[in-house]
Amino acid sequence: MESLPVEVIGNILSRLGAARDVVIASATCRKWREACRNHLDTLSFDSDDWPVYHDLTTVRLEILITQTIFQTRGLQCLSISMDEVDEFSAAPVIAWLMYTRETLRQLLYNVRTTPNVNILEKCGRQRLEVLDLSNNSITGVDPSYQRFPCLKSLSLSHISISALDLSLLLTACPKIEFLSLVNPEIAMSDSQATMELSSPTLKKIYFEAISLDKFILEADGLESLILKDCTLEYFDIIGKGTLKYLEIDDVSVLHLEIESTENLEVIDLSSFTIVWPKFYQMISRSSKLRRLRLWGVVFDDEDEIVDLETIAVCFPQLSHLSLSYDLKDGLINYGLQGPTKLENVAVLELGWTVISDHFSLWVAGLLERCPNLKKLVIHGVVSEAKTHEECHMLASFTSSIVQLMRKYMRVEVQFEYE
Amino acid sequence: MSMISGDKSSTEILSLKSSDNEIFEVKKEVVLESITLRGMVEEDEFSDTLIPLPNVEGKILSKIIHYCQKHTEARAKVNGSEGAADSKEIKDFDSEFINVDDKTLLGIILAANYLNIKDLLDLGCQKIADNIKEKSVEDVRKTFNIKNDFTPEEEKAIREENLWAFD
Repeated sequence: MESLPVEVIGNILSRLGAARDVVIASATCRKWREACRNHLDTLSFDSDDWPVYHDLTTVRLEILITQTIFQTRGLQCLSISMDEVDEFSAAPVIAWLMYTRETLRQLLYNVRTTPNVNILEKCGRQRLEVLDLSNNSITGVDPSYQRFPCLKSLSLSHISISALDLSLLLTACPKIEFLSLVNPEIAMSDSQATMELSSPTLKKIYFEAISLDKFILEADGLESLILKDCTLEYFDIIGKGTLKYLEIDDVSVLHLEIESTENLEVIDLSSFTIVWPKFYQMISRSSKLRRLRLWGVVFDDEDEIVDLETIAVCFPQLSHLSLSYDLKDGLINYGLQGPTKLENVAVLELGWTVISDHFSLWVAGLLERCPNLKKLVIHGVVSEAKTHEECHMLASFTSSIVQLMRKYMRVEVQFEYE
Repeated sequence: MSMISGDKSSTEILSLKSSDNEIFEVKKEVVLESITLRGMVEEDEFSDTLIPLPNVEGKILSKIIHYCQKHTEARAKVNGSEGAADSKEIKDFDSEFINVDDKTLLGIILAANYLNIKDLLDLGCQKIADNIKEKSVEDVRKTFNIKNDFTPEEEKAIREENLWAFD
């Protein structure tokens, strides 16, 4: 151990991260203490790391965080995640940010500050690459002097910010690649809630629990978009056809427009109300599509169904297909009509929410369309209190599947019931 | 000692000599995983002679070469096909590889530091960090054979300053 250079010990301490462990390790000998002083680049105060944090008052926490940070020099990654703390007072928070200003590359902070601290103003901006803020307010964004030349990843959760400030913030980040917005409190000036965001460098976006009337997103380099639990009336995504991955889960959107869908490879929709013809028109040019998942989707028009002929013709490279939706009685055969096979589909996942006779027929029809299938996964929902009829259905389904799969001996079958 | 010279540098074989005079013949591309060795190879004409590594003993050098070989292969695979599958394979290899006794672990870290093989150094440091987590000061000292060179006054001052961590 004596032969380890102090920088290497700094590397070890930085990987420890958790403040308590770092303090303990640095109390073992002089060299370790020096490593903590001068070669520590990561420090984390996380309420999950050390149970004793829960027993300390907010004031004591403020003191220990201050004292520990001030024992280091050149900290690059600072993480303060204290779930049980209501709020920290502004003075210590400002002290932590100012002390680390010159060297900070990553900041994670999730505690409310009172009075509110303008974190963007106080934290180091020159080298900051990752910023993850929760439970705070952002106001008065001014890109003329507040610039984040190195910021690549921005995550805002339960943040109060105006639509204008968010838009300005993005313009202040010329290298930004990842944006995550979770449950923001977006202040609007218009009577109609509109947000316009633009960034040519954004590659990945994650939006959760966002509620807006109108949202215009301009992202010429966007590759991946995930929307969860959002309510949007009008969502317009302007781009240059770089989008590869689209995931929409439990979202209500009346008008969805995605410009240039030619390079989409994965479309994953769940718990989503679709106006199928319109949506279909939007994705019909996605000839590179490899994975399509329509799970628990509801069609706006009751007579709409997904017809496999269209899917087979438009997505010849499809290798993974997952379908689960309400199978309307007379429409199953309609959906299965057509000569074109799904040549490349290797994995098929089919699910029911309410088991019925139609389901086995549907499975059979689909198997016929996938000549090169390797794996079939059946997803079922089985209620706790099963009526006699439900048991009978399940049994009858099981028998029919056993029978059916005899024809497809090379296909691996899996069942997932919940 | 045999030397195979090929058209491409990747088939060229170099010889490394450990501190205890063990000789290892290694493909040049694997040797280049070490930034230190890369510098040596590019500056001087080592392709005809042995590269002596007086700081690294044979047992450790053998392990390091194995690590570099595996990672060179994995990287070649990623450039070909499915990157994700190999990422798990490499992760499994790494955790298996670093699961060694403390003495060997320290040897690997020292060698990786001297040879400047970043990924291996980080892997070793992370392992030590994992072994320190949640231990008391005395336990850390015992586990890693660290001599307490603080005076009693210094130790008291450190404790007082960070009382919260010691309970």
